[in-house]
Amino acid sequence: MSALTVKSIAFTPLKQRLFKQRLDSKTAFLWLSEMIGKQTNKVIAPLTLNEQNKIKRHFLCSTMVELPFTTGEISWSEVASMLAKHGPHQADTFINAYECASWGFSLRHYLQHEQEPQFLLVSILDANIYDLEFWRYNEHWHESGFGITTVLLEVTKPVTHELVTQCAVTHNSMAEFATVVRRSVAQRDNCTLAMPFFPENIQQMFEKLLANQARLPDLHHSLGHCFGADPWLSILNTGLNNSITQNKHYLACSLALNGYFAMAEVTVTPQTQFILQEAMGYE
Amino acid sequence: MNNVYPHHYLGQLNNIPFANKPSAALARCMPLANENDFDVFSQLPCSDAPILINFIEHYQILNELVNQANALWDCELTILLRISMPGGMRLPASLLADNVLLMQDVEPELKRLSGKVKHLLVIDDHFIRYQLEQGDNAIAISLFTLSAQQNTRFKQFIAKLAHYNIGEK
Repeated sequence: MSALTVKSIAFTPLKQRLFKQRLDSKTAFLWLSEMIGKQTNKVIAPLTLNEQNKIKRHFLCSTMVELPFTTGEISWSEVASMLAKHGPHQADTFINAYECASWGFSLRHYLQHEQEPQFLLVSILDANIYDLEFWRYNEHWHESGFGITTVLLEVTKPVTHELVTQCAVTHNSMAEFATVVRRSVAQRDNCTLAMPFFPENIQQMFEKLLANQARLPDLHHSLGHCFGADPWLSILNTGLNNSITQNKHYLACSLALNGYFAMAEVTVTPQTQFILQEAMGYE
Repeated sequence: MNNVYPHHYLGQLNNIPFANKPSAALARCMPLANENDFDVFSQLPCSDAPILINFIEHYQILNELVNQANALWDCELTILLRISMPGGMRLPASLLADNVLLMQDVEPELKRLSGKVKHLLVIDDHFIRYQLEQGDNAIAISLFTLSAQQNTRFKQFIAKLAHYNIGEK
């Protein structure tokens, strides 16, 4: 049993064309923060008040949301204030430097300082705010998928081996990542891989390098590459399709374009809540 | 609540950090493919501060600062670094170490960890590496420590900045 139990995963897909016409960053983030806020409240709703009081952190991670901050159109403190209006457990820390692996490095940082049993939240926002073609499709991962994902984790005991955060040392980070995943999963019992979603040519590489490892299906064909959310969407999809009747163990794996990667061994239980919401766009 | 001893420094990158060394032009713009892309980029605000540094030089400075801080405060140090994205290239290993957190805005974490960890070093630079980044080439460095005798070490750490043409503001 992993020290990290998934209590809930929620996904709100965002439409390819998010806004009918270009919005200023403030209006865009007002709308997005409402989506994130509502999703967070839905995710934590099944917890008792006592349990909700044990939610110690909420990180908001992203790969593609950077330009509005970089160009100074909006600041994180403004977005954090917008989020705070939606309740007491909203994200207050924004991490995007580790790209798709940001969720794993956030967890690592948190667990460095807190090891007591408690709950924590990670939300992953990938929204094409400016509707840029590069983020819709590019040669690295082909079609992108956009959305808001929130994962509620319970830390049940001190985390020892569950979390792996590393950086590739070569420039063939995809193959290096697959090799580290193989080595990492071999040291764990009955652990199924939840891998990032990639187009056919990269899937074939995983097929070969991870031929003997149990893997959840790649959903690139239906969802596109959803950045750091992929492994969580993979688990969500399984939870929605098959009723989970006993505890299952997954290794959630993400790889960033610059070669950072994160893996977390998590336990999914019959009580884990899976929420798939309808695709949203700003009308 | 523990007693926290704060040390602060405000500096400014006054010139290119490595004089007499060639500097590669590394700033890249994402590919712009359609009318909307060009339209968006034409309207994005751009900085009027001079660009004195590229991605490699920026990470070289941060790498050297982090290594020096780790040596000065040994293994009892937590470091918060401001990094603006896109990052342009792979970060050096020292910045990805487990006593470092990279953030867009260091303020929320600073509030949480100050007084909680033995030595908290915060490096908050606004060096601009390409025109779309907002910044004024300023750098703020703070140490929040539970130990009363860190003034000499902090000064020793700050002294390194002069090597990069960073002067006190």
